[in-house]
Amino acid sequence: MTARPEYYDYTYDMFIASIDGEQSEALRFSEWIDDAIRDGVYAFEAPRLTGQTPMVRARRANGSQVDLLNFSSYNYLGYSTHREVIESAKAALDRYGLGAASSPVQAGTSELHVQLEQRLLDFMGLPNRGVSLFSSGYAVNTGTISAVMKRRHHILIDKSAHMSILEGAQLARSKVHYFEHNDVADLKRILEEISKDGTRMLVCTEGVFSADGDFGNLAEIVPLAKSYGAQVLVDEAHSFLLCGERGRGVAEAQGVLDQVDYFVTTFSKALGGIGGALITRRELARYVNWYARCRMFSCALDPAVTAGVTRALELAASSDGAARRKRLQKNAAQLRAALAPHVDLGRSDSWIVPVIYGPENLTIPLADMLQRAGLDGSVMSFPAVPVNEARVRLFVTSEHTEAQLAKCAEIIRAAAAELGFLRAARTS
Amino acid sequence: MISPEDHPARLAQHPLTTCWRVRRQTLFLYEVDSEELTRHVPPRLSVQEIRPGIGLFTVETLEYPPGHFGETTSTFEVVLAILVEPDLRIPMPIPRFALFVTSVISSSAAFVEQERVLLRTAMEHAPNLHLEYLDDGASVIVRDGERPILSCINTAGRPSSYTPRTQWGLIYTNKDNVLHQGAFRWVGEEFEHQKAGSRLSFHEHPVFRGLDLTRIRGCYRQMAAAPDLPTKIGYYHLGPLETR
Repeated sequence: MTARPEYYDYTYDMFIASIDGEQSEALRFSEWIDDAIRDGVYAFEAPRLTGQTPMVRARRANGSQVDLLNFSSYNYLGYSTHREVIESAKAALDRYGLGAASSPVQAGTSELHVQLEQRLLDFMGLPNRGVSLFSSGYAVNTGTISAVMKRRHHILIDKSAHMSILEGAQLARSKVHYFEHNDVADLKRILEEISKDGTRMLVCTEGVFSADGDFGNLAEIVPLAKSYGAQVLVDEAHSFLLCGERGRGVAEAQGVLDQVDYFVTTFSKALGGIGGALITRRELARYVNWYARCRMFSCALDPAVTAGVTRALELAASSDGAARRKRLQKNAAQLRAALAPHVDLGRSDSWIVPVIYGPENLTIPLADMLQRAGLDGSVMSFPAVPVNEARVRLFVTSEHTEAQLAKCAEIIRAAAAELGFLRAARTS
Repeated sequence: MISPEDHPARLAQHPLTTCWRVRRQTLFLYEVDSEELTRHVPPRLSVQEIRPGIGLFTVETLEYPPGHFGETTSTFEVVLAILVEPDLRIPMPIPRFALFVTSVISSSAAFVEQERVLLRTAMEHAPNLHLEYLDDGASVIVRDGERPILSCINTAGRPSSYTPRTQWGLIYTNKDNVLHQGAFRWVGEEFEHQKAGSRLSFHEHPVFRGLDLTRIRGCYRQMAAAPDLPTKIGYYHLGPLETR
């Protein structure tokens, strides 16, 4: 390959801070983006001109329009553009207007929110539970963790956990401990050490990890945490409604659902909307409603999304949802099978299929190459993932067709051959 | 041996101060509680966190070929530093690291004297300093005579290949309570990874200058230069931080 500009070697972490008083980090970061746009290789932030369906139209930085196979949205079950979901949202918009216009603990709670809470409780089927609704999935973690954990408490976090969990812990100002990803022995070592304090402990992990597409080892982690008297928070953002016998997530699939203290989910993945929910003991949900600062001091979920998400949940809980889950798993297996002999998929065993291309300096050219070839994937590089393990994540949905999955695999294989990350090339 | 033509003659109007050729080099970055690291960093600087509450302590080892500083044997150097936030005002390529140097020891008296003047580091002469690079080329055991100081063990297996790179960094040093800033340019081939494992093994030694290494939580990242391919490092002294 020909020599690339120096900025290809830059990574996100290089622009996090600068000690000067002039915010040089923002200036230099902006120059980085401008340089890529100037060279016609900037493929990020391309505005969508259509909904998040398997085929989308987007506008590139140079103004041209492209039709793309959409493997970068997590509209896993396709409900974001489902006719009945949209009709429900429209009806709520007509009746309640655009926004909730108040905090949920003041005037922002409408009958729509009460209905959504009840649907969630009915779906989960666990006794003595309550729901706390948030206007974003991110806020569920930051709000919940900082509400229930304080100074001198201990928070134990899987090293691959989402940033919202880390920021929740930071807001709580508790003592934070990171355990190796899914590593029960490492978690046990830390629990052994800190449980002597006799203070509150919270173990945080996930159902499906979004960078690797692997499952949380809940079957071992949850009982271990409980044996030391720790509480457990499981973020099922990428697994709620997607696995488990009835779609209740990885905790259900691994038989520990009733032991999870804080079940976190978002409405922006399987339900195709925005917002999120904490499902926990009734009194804890009530407490979080009042003490999660980002909930208390934010506007409630808007009526249209609330109604749309409620309808999506009803569909997902029905035979329609079961059929879509089945298709999703079949589609994910098809894509993994088509790619696994050719490229490194890491630990993926789910509908998040990361293609690991390695060096960070391929990120900009690869994103550009894929977009020009008609494929939109979600690129991730250091420090979000380990150095030299940059990847393009492919989010499979139930709505992708066999032909679309095959085309996606074909484009990835061609890019891997061109940029040198075919399996044979990487291991030689 | 030392070739100024390997690097630009000036950086942001500052002339190339000095340059080195390195035979072997490793850099290990360890996770430590930010509050512990902050105790060792001047107020003008801030510890750069990789996760909330976690900063990085770095251990760098270098072996220079015989003759580099006049000696007939290899010269060894160990640099301990803390990752801090950079100064991105400087018109230079974006630095990959900014390091506040807490301690440097070298086996060469001539090198110590030179660096004291050029880099403004509080460098110590350790005549019996010895680096033992293990067979994988990416692990090292540091000894002061018979006395072990520390060992940094690669956790990714023997490197199968090295990647050619040119990278920039910033160095902050504190001498006589004046904070100096310098930039370095590194040209070579490197192996780099973040495979989990390898806590730093260490033994009490003055080089640690009171840093509580028991608070190391694990290894974050490991880097090694290709052995015996001369790595070229150029250094530009940019002056005291506040008056530059």
